[in-house]
Amino acid sequence: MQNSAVFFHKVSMNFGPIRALDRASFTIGRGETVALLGHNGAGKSTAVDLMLGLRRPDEGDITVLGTTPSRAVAAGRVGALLQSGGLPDGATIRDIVRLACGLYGGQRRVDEVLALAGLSELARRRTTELSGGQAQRVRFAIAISGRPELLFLDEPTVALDVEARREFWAVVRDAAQGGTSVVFATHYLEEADQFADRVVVLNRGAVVADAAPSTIKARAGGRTVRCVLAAPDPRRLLALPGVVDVTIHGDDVRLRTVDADRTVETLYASIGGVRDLQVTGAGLEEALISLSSEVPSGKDQ
Amino acid sequence: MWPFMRFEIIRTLRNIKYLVFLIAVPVAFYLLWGRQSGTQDGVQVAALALVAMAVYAATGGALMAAGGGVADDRAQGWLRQLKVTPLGDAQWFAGRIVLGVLMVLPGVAGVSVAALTAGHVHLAAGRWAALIALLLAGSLPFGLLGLFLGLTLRGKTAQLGIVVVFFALTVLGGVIGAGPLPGVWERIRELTPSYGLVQGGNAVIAGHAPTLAQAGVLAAWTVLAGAAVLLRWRRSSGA
Repeated sequence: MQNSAVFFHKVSMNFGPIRALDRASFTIGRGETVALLGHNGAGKSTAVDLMLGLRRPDEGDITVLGTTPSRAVAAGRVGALLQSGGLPDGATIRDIVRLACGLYGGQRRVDEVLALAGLSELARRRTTELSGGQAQRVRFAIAISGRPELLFLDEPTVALDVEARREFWAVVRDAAQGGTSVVFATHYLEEADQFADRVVVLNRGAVVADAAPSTIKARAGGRTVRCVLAAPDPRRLLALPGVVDVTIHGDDVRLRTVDADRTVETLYASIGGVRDLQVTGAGLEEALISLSSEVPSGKDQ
Repeated sequence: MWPFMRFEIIRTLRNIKYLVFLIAVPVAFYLLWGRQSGTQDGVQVAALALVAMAVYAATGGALMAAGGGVADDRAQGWLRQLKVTPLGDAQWFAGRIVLGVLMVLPGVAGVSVAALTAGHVHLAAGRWAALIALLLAGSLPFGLLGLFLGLTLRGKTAQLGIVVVFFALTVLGGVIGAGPLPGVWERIRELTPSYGLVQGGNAVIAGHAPTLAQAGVLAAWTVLAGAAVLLRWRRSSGA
């Protein structure tokens, strides 16, 4: 456990009557990128706060980089982009990045951090003149200015549009190269799938799954195949390989399948007349339902 | 702590409100009303005005620099962001207080230059230095008070609270306005830190040390405000 980036063991945390974390356990290896996936209120932000030493758990052990969370933060070995973290008024981007570089003891140069976060052109802007995506990149710049061994990103793209989200992740990937462990909280299954080596799924404070993204997606009820058919016949559709559920609205067909490849193959071969075919992953909603029901839990269900 | 101090000093110097109210206003007041000839108890009136306006700049500067932005920083999550950097709570706290004391200097320097050039104040260098030293030390309770208000009040209320406290102390302490206050207010005046600082300043330029009563009032306010800040800080950082 000493050589893992994070060791999170049987941690419980209550806020009054609300159980934010319920004996949650997971481990983050060095150099690993792990997603904490779950709804709002699933316990993601609480877990991140605990790993940063912002709160203390009611029960359980947390080790970060071989020491306590507070010590790891004080030593400048951890960088964090908090969901509830903000930027100060009356300062320019360069002022803020210079401050961060100074606080972390000059591990990176100011211009280097500005370039990494894609902020070189914006260095003289004030924080009040930034778009949501730009402000998020400034927070990210603060988080990486100490060349951290471990980087926390709590819901980093939650307020961003698709374009800003893609840019943000491109920046993260460039900056996190070279052995940095990354833990990010998200409620987008797609984001976890695209950027994580491993996904820890939280539901109502408990870890309900901990596996590779593709495994999570498969176990989460597979994929959805949508298409338009001239005269859809529910019985024939349900008989297709892999299909577990069929929904029909007029000629609009929606199939849930555990084996999208074979379903689509047979759909074309044996039914035909298929138009506007789309294959998508299952939503987080369905994923959580199916994952939660697989795991025995001591909680009220 | 130095990067944090530098950041906050630059931020304060970029703040128009600070520049206008705590440098331009006392200098303008001095130029309008302070340039009088004549003496009072053997001290130049222009020098007494220097003390009053320097106290104005110092107490306002300390209140605003130490506490001014804290409420907004708290509301916007900036303090939370700082908590996950290597800047410790104790360093943040010390940094704010040092900042409050340091940001006394620009206003005091402005008023001093006005007093030298326009007011023709003749003061031995040693007394001038003693006055500035007294203002730096005496602004500590004001910095603590500003920090307490910044940690306690929210958003715009905090800014307003600091301005209200500042003017209350300025008027009560006799920093602006002349003559005694009616009845019991004159007794209350003697308990305000601003009065203690003005009287102490007047003593210093006349070549005396501040009285024990003046130093005692300032020390008591420092202890009180310091305790209030510590209590507040403990509660808000909640173990």
